[in-house]
Amino acid sequence: MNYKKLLIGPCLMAALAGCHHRPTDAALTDALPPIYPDYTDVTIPADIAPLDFNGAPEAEDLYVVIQGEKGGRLEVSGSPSREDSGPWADIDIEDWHRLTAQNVGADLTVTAYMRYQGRWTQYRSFPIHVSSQPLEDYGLTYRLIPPGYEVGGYIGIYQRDLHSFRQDPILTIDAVPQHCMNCHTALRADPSHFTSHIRGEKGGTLVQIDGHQRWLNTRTPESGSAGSYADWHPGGRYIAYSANVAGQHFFVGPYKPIEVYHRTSHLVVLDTQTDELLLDSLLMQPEVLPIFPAFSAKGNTLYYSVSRYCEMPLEYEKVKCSIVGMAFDAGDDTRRPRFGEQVDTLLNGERDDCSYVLVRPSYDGRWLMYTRCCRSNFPIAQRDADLWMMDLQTRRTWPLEAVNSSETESFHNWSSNSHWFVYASKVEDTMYTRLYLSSITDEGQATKPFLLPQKNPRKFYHALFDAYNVPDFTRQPVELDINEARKKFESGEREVVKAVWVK
Amino acid sequence: MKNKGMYLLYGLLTFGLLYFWHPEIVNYHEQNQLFLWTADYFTNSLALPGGLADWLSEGMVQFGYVPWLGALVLSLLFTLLALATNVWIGVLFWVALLDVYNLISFPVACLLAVAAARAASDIRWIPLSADLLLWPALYWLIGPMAVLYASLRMIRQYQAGTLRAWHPLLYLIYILAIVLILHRMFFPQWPLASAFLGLNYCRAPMLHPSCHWLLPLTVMLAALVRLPRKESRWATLKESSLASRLFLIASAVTSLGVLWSLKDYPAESYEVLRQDMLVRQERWDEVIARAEKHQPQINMSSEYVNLALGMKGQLAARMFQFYQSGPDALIMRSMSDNMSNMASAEAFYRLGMVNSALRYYSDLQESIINRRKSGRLERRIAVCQLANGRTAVARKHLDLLRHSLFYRAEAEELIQNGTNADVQRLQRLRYRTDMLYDYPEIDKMLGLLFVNNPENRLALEYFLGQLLLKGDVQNFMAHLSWAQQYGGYAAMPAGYQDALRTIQSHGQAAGTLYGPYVKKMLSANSSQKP
Repeated sequence: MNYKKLLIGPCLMAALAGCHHRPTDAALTDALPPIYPDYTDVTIPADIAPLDFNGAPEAEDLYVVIQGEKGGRLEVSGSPSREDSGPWADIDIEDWHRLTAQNVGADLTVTAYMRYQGRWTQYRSFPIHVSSQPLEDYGLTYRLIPPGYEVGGYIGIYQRDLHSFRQDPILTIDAVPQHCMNCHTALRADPSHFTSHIRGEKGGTLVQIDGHQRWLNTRTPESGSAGSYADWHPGGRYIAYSANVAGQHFFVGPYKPIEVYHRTSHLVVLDTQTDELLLDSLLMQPEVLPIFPAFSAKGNTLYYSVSRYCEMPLEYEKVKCSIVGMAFDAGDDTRRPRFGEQVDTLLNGERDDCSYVLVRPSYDGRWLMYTRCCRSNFPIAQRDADLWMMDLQTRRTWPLEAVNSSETESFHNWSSNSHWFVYASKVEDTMYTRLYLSSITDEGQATKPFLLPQKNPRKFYHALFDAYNVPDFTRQPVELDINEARKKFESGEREVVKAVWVK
Repeated sequence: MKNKGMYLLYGLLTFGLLYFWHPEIVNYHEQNQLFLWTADYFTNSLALPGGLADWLSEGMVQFGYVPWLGALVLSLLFTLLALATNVWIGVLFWVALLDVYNLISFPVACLLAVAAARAASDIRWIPLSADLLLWPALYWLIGPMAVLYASLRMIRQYQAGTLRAWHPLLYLIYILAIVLILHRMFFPQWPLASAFLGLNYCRAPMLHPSCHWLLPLTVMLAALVRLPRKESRWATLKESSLASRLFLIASAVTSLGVLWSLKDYPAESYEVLRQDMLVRQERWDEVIARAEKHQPQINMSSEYVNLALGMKGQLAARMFQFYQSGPDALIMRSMSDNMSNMASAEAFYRLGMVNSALRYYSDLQESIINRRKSGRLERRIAVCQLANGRTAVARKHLDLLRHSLFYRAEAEELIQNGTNADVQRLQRLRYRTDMLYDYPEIDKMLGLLFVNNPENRLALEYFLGQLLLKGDVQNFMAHLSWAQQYGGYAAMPAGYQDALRTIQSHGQAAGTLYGPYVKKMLSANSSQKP
C-alpha cells in the first residue's frame, strides 16, 4: 500500500476544489456589486494596501477580476468567511502593488461575481482610479479608544503601514496603566519630532526630537492646564499647544448621547530649546477660548479657532467658533519669537451661526481644510460636522461634498505632499469613527474617499469596538523607546517649563 | 488513590463554598467576561503569555451563568488541583478563590504547571534538555507559572538522581533570558514585572497579590518535603534531617502567610456582591429578606434594596425601614470602576432612563481593567441601543453575544425581531424631550420621567423617594397628590404617612422612621461645615 498516494490524493482534490475558475455561466446584472466597503469609483494611490472587500453576506462565493487600463490583470477567488461577513477578496499584496504601479494615472476595472444558491451573478464592472499623485508616506498614526462616556477604557496610540495591513502599537495603556493619553502629533508627518500628552496623576507632556525623549510639565500657573491639541512650527523648534479644560454632559433623550466642550482654553507656544512656554496676551484672555492651533505652511501665521466664553453646560448651544490667523515670527538664536499685534478673522462663526474648528492648512500653502458644524468646540461629538475647504489665495470656501455625509466628519490631516488627506467619519454606524483617505484635485475638490483597507474588512470593522481618533500621516515608522518612556513616566519626574510673557 | 474520601469531601466543600456560601463569587467572575466560541477568541487569547490558561479559565467561568453549574465546574477544577498537589494546598487555594480580584486563570495555570511537570517527568523520553523548547512554549501558554513547572522538574530530576549541581542555575538563567527576549519581542508595552509575575492572573493586570507567589512556593515546598530518600551523586538535601525540617517549617510559614491574607475578609463586600447577584437574577424578595436581617451600611446596598422594594411595589411604604445612605441611596453619581454604578445602572434601566442606563453600563464595561467584555453588560447595552434606534451599533454587541453559550438565544431573537419586551418597555417609558443629565437635579429628572409617562409608577416612587432623601419637604408635600392620583394605592402608603408625620411635627413625632434619617443627614451636614 502506498500511503503517500493515499494522503496526497485527497489533499490534491481538496486543493483543486478550493481553486476556482472564472464563472462562465454567470447571469449578468446592471447593478453595482453589493460589496463592503464601497470601493466603487474611488481614487487610490499606487502602492496602497490591497483594497480587499467582502461580497454580500448571503453570497456563497465570490470571484473578482481586476483589469488594468495600462495592462496587468488579477483574478481573485473569494475566501470563505466565518460568521456573516460574506466571502472576501483576499488580494495578494505583491500582485496588487505591481498592478497599481503599472496603472498609475489610469483605471483598474473590477468585475465581481457572486454565487447565490449555486448560481453565479456577474455585476456591473466598476473603476478604481489610480492617482498619478503618489502617497509618499509610510503610513498613519492614530489613537484607538472605545467611544464611551466618562471611562476611557483601553486606549492606545498605533501606527499603520498604509502599504500593507501591519499595525503596531506606539504607546498603549499597558505601558501607562490607568492613564488616558492624547494623540501623537508629529512635525508635518515627520516622526523625528513628535509630542503627546499623558493625562492624570502621573501625567506629563512627552516631546521627542531625534530620538531624545523628554517628559515635561507644561502646566504652569499662567496656562492653567497642560498642553493638549498641538502643532509643530515647520522649523521644528516650537510647538503650539492649546491648554484647555474639557467637560462633557449627557443627554437623557433619544436623539443625541453626549455634548463635549471645553470650559477654558488658552494657546501657548513651547520653545523646545529653552523650555520656555511663550505666552501672548491675545491668546490668554479669559473671555475668549482659542483652541486647535495650526501653523501655516511657512510658519509665519498661527491659525486657530476661537469662541467667546460661555457658561457651560448651560450655554452649550451658544458655542460658535471662528477661524482666525495671527502673525508669528519665529525669531532666531538672538531674538525671541513674536506674535502678531492683531487677529485676522478668516471665518466668523458668530456671524454665520455655526462653528468653524480644526483648521488644517496644507503643507504646500495652497488650502485650508476645516470642520464646520452647528455649534461646539469639539466637533467629533457633533453629528452635522462636515469637512470644508478654503482656497488660501482667494479665501473662497466650499464643502468637500465627496467626503461629507449625514454623520460626523472631522479630525482631518494632510499627507506630507498635501495631495492626500485622512479623516475620521461616523458614517457607518453613527458611533464608531473609521478612517477614510481621499485626494485633492487641482481645483480643491476631494475625490471619492476609501475606507482604510483591512483584510476581511466587514469582519474586521464589525468586530472592532474602538473608534479611530486624530489620524495623521507619518513619513517613516515612529520609533519610541517604550522602556524608557515607561521608566520616565513611572518616575513621575517632569522637566519644568518656564512661562514667559512675550507680549 | 489514597484518601479518596478526603478529596471527595474537599470537592463537596468547594462546591458548598461556591454555591451556598459565596455564590456571588462565581457570579462576579461570570459577569466580568464573555467567553466566545470562536476561533478568533481563542487566537486572541493566545496573543499574550498565559493565554491558554486564561482561555480555559474563561471557558469554565462562563458556566457561572447557571449558578450550580458554575460552582460545579469550578469545584471540579479545584479538586483536580488538590489531587495534583494535596488537599491542604487545595484548601490554601481557597484563599485565592475568595478574593474576586484573582482570576481563575491562576489556579488553572498552577494545575497545568503541575500536570506538565508530572507528564514531562513520567515520560522517560523527555529529557531535561527538552525543556529548552518546552519551557518557552509553556511560558506562553500558562504564563510565569511555568516557573513552578521548572521547579518541579528540578525536584523530580533530583529525586531520580539525574540532577547535576549546575542544572538549577543554568535553568534559572535560561528562564530569565527567555522571559526578557519574549517580553522585548512580543509584548514590550507591558511592564517587565508583569512578564515575571503574570499578565492575566489578576483582574487588574498591574496588581500582583502575594498569594500569586506564595501559593506556588507552597506547592514547590510541599514537593520538596515529600521527596523520598534516594541516593544521588551529590549530597542529597533529604539526607540532612535539618534540611527536611527547614522545608517543613518553610511550608508551614508560607501556608500561614497565605492564610494571613484572609485577615481582611471582606464580609460586607460579599454581601453587596450577593445583592448585586440577586438583583441581576431579579430575586427581589431575597434582596429584601436578606436586608431585613443585615444590610451593609453603604450607598450601593441602599440602592439595591430600594430597587428591590420598588420592583415589588414596596418602596413608598417601606423605604425608611432600611438603611438609607443619603441622597445617593436611589441613584449614585458616576464612578469609574466596574461595580459601584451597577445598582444605579439597573435602576435607570428599569426606570426607562435609556441613555443614562446606557452611559452607566458602558462605563462599567470599559472599567473592566483586563479589557474583557461582560455578557451581562453587553446584553443591556444592546437593548438600550435598540431602544434608541441604533440598530447597527446594537448589532455589533448582539453578534458578540451570539457566539456565547448562554446569551446566544436572546441575541438571536433580538437580531431576528429587532425588539423584545425590554426594548418596547424602554421605548414606552423613556423621555420624550431632550435635556442634559444633571445629577444634582436627579429629583427633577425623575419627576419629568413620570410626567412623560404617568404609568411609570417606579419613576413616581423614585421621584418622591428622592425628594425625601434630599429633605426637599416642600416639593414632597406639593407632589404628594401625584401619589394619590397615579400611584394606584388603596391608601396613602405607610412610608409617606410616616414622612408626613415627621414633617408636620417638625421631627418631634416619636417612633417615625423618616425622623432619624433627617436627623442623621442634618448632623452629617453640620459636621461637614467648618
